[in-house]
Amino acid sequence: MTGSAWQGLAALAVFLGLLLLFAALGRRSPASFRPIPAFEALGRAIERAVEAGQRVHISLGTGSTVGQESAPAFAGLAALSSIARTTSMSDRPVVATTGDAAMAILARDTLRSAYESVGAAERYEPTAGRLLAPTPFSYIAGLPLVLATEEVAVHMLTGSFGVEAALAADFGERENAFVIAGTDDVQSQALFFATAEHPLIGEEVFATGAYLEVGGLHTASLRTQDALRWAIIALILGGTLLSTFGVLR
Amino acid sequence: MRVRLSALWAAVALAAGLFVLLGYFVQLKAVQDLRLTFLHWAVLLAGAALIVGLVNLVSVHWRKVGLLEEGWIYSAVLILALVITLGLGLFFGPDNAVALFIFSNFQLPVETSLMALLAVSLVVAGFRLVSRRRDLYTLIFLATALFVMVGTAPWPLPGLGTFEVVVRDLRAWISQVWAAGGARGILLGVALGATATGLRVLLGTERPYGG
Amino acid sequence: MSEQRCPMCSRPNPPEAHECWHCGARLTPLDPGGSASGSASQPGSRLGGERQPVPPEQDWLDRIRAESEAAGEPEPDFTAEPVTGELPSWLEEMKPEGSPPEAGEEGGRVSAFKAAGEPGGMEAADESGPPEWLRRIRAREEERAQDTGESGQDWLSGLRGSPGAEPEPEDVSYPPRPGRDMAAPRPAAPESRDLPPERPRERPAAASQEAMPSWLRQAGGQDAPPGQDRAAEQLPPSGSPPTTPPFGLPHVQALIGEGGAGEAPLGGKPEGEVDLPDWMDAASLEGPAEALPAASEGEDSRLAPATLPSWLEAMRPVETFRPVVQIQTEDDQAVESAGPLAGLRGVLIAEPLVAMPRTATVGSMQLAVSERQYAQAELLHRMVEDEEREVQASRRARPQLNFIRWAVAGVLLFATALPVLSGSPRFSLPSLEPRELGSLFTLIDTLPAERPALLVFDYEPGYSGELDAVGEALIEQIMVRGIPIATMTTRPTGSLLAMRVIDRLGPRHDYVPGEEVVHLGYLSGGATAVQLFSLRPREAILQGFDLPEDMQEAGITAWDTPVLRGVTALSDFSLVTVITAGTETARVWAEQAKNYMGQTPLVMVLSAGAEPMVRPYYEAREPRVNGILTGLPAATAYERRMGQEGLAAQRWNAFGTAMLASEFILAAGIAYGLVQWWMARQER
Repeated sequence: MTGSAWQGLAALAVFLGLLLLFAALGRRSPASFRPIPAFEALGRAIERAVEAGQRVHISLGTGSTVGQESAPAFAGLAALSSIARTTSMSDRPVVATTGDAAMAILARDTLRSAYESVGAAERYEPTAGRLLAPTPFSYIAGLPLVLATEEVAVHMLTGSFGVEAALAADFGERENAFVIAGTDDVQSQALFFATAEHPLIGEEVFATGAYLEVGGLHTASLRTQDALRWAIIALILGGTLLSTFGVLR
Repeated sequence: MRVRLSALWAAVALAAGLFVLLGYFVQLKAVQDLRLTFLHWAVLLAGAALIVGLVNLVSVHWRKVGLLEEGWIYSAVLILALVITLGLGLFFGPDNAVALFIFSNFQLPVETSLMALLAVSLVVAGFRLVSRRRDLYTLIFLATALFVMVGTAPWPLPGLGTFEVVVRDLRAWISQVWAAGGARGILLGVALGATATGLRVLLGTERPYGG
Repeated sequence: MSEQRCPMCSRPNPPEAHECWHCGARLTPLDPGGSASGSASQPGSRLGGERQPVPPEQDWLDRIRAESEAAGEPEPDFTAEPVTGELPSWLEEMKPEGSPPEAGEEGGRVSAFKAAGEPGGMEAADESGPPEWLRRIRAREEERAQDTGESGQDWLSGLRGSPGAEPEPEDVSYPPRPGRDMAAPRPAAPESRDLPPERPRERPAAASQEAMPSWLRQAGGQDAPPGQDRAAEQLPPSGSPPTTPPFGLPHVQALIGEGGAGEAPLGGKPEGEVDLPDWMDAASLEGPAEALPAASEGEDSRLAPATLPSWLEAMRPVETFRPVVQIQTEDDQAVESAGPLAGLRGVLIAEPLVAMPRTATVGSMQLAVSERQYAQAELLHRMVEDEEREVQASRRARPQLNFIRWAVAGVLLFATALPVLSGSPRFSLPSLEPRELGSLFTLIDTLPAERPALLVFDYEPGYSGELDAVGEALIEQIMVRGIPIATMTTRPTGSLLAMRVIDRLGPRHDYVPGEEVVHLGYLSGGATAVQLFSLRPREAILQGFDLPEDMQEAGITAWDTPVLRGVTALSDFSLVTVITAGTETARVWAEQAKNYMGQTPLVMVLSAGAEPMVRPYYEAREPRVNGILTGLPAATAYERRMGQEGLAAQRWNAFGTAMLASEFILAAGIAYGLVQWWMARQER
């Protein structure tokens, strides 16, 4: 193996070790994260939607299931699972749309598992997880119909989007829905800041599982990310200083 | 039986993921070949998933048309357009002039119009942003956006060469230093989040494939 | 004697009345012993051969015993098992004719409730009159009454303790049951009651103490503990009228425990006399007012007078329908023929009261309902109705025309169209070039012309307005150099975009499809496909796209064309140019494919928004991107360097006016928001 390969393996091992450590420490040393107003408002919005007989819509983005663009979509799937369990007995259960066919299959599987876990398997509908369109702009073009006809009150965008995602958020705002949007693309995040009511900036989209209390490992993942982030900050600052003073070339 | 099946799927997913991951680090031929094989399968499955997705899309809209739900007319138009395009593409081929005609005269104008709509929506959102969210970050965001636009757009006032140079250099400095630095920090965090997500899938605790 | 109040309607009645003149309720209780007894109670009845201890409550048994003793009759032997067929004398006296009295197992149980045929039960359907033992008892009573000089007074009157004050006993008859051969029910009316003559008019004071059952005593307010001497209880004298209760509620005389409690005989009872509990004592119903002070001063506590709450008072029927129960003589009493009380006389008929429908003969019940209760009932009624009412779904209000959105759209449309339609305003082309423009131009200028350049069209049709203009500037230079071109894409619509661009530029530079330019087509799989293509391009894409017909017919693939004949790896290309608007795509090519490109340069043609993400790859110490061309201004400068006016220059003026309009709108929005904030602050 090359040197970079060893470095990569070592970094992966550190990551995995920290993840398992925080997972083990989970109950004994509970984590406390900074409040993200978007997630706090999301819980209330979902409750209001269920009480009002309206729907929650989760958009899993237009990214594929391979590559880094799948990561925010998986975070969206975790949120989908949690929200599906919450709204399983609602008059209008949650609907998930995506611009990738494989992601649509995963969304359907997630919904089915969620309904089965709460004993509401009969309420699962395969059309609840659907491919809206195979390309990003055609996906955006199909969103207004879903938002208008499905009585959507909560419009959640968690996935990989391009700049067209600003339109997706804007459509939700036009329907007076509660819009929370997060993605991995920096450009799209800037657009969400302007168009969405509750934007998730940076890697907050990956904290969705931890803040929605999907599972202990989600919390452990977030703690691991925080720890490694501080480590990277220290490395960058240290390397900058060392380079500045000529120690490191 | 169901519990065992879900364990089987988890085992398959774990094994495939681990082999592909190992293939990035280990240079053994067997591992590399296996990784490539899995990648080929992933490409094939992506294509098959596209067909499944299209079937799902048609079924959703077909149901809407059948039940005459709200917006059923749009669903009918979608199904019609899909059938026509699919038929023409299968008959004439995807690289035929007919397909190019449909693409150039339908899809391209629609998507570029959506892009124009995006521009309008962004400008409107920018106009309302301070009214909706009155905080320091919003002001900084809008001020930066305005400055970059001024530095990017054609200079409206001729004869102010030095000033234009200063503005353009400042714009480049903001874009290539501050924005790029912030973006790289965000990308680092995104990479950490993506790694954590991938590890959760590899550990089998997160099973988006059901079970 | 003062008037007596009806226990039901609380209205005053004459003291001699036995029934209420207003509602027909009985004022004096019925005699339980004379009407219901089939066989006398059996004191000292044995159970399983063992004498059951006689409960002290059986005062009437004691009284009978006492009478027997007084009369010199030997006390019945309660200890020995009665020999079959041999009964005690007292029992012999009391046993009905024709049926041997049997020591029942029901110690003390009133045989009136026994069914016919049961031991000790009444004979069924005996119409011949009262049994012998009852007649004997009555005869004794009459004798005693004659001896004491009392006449015409019933035993209840005697219990009241006011001799001579009792009216003639009234004839109480039960309304006949339907289905029997009896007359129709007579309306309830107070009638004279013919009470058994043997009922003592008063209890002799010297009668042996027959203690009332403690539960009766306690119910009557007499807390006589069990086992106490069965001293005759003295009737508390009539007292003063009851005072009005402190709450102002109407006083309802208690049916038991007040001054009208039955007058217990002082020591012993005459033979056959039954000591009634206080609550059955008619005297307890008299003079309610007098009873209270007696109760208060009485050594034995009695029940406090009941005070009705207002809601209960409101429910009191003004005119109550009460069927008058008239007790008939034993001869006239029908014998029950069915049910558990078969064979008994004087059984209260249930059907007229419970089962048979009847109409009220005396008015209807009127509830006293207040206004507030009416309002609450109405509110409840409305609430229930509202639950059932189907609410029509309200139609969603049509969204109002968003003036700002339409105004902004109009301004931007006007600003974009104005230079195209009128030719003005015109903006000068940028005099300043990006720093990286020169190096890129040089890079393209020094590419080997014999090796093809790979162009990757990885953007959506929506971005074609910008990226077509920016990419064509670079492609023009490549074509000017005569470098063969191969195109590919990882997006479904990328092939068609590539066809459009090449079809527009190719004829200008005499590029013949299949000879100078070839399309590899769509490679599905995203980042994975980029990896596969980078490793083994010929295995990732097999056929090609939009090949000339003759080549298709000849079965020639894109890799067999003169353009790609010598290409087997990514490094065989002279240049790889990725035209994309997405940062992720640029990063995938920069991170994944660059490793397999060797010395082949990688150039990025980007949308302006993707520049910050890709520039670090260009400016890194070991750059993974060898050249970037970003946005319309850079493309315009590139075209100017080439000395040609392409799409970028054509769109420059419209781009300028639209950008200016957007800047003004944004500035106006900022100012508007700040003014709003300032005004809100002033108002506060």
